[in-house]
Amino acid sequence: MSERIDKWFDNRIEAYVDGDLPDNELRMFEARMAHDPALEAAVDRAVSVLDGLGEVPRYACPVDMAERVERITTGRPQRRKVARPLFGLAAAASACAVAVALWLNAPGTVTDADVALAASPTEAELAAARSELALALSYLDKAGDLATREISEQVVGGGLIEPIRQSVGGGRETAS
Amino acid sequence: MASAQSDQPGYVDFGDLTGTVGVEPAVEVSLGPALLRFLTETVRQEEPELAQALGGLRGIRLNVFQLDESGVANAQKRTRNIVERLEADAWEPAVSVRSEDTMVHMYMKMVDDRVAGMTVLTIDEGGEALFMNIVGEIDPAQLGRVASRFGVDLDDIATGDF
Repeated sequence: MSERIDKWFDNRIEAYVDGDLPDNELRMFEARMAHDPALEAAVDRAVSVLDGLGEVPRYACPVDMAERVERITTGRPQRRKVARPLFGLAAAASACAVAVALWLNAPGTVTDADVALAASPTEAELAAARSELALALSYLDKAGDLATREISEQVVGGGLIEPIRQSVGGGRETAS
Repeated sequence: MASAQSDQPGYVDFGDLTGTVGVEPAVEVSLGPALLRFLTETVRQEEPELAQALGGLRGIRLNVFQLDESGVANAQKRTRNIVERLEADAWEPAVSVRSEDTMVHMYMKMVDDRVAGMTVLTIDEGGEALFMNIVGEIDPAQLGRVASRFGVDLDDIATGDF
């Protein structure tokens, strides 16, 4: 078997396992596999990988998980990579599993904040966070109302000319 | 230990508030960058303005105390101390007003002409003391609009109806 033909078939193992080969290439591939034990073994290995991935529990994995893990473990952002067509969705699941494994085995540079960034909250945690957010923003609104009321009272009372400094360059504290 | 929030220029360490005022907070909220990010994504479709307001935030911390007279005095002292630190750290006062029984301070941390943090400190005539730090890129006007829509009845907090 020539090297060029080897490469042609090698390049199509992934598509074959994924069922993505066009009919004409499928016929050629299966014909070759019928009398090429090495090609058949390569296909078997690819199928085993897919089967193994199928047994991995399916957890939601953030789309940028791998990038986060690399940032945690190396301190630099991951370069964007073009996704390989091999195994399609299984490849994504595999990347996620590898990312989790890397994270679990990362050296002792991981901070609480990093762990928090890497973990996905449950729906219950998100609901609780939503309630806490509503609470915090409501208190912020209440503080704004209190400020407005105090300022109004002092301005109406004539005791304060400039009680409010809008943001930048406003100066220092004013007290009655 | 290092923290994504405390590394931010808009972060303020309030210290041991419970030890200062002598009681546990009636309300305590602490939302870190991960939860805020997920929250932002969950509301992006239905509440785009809220998502936009949350998009740059790295943390929200809130402590509310219901205090007696001595607690109020201690809270006022701590508030003055925090305000001194904020001004020493070049925080800009947006609102700073004080009357006989009420204190309201709202400070902004500016970085490159952008708001990188907000600190709100209030003590009202009823003895309620609030310490709030919002970390991250903030549009105060937008955050104010969003906040006014939540409408949580805060009077229910004390009765546990929330």
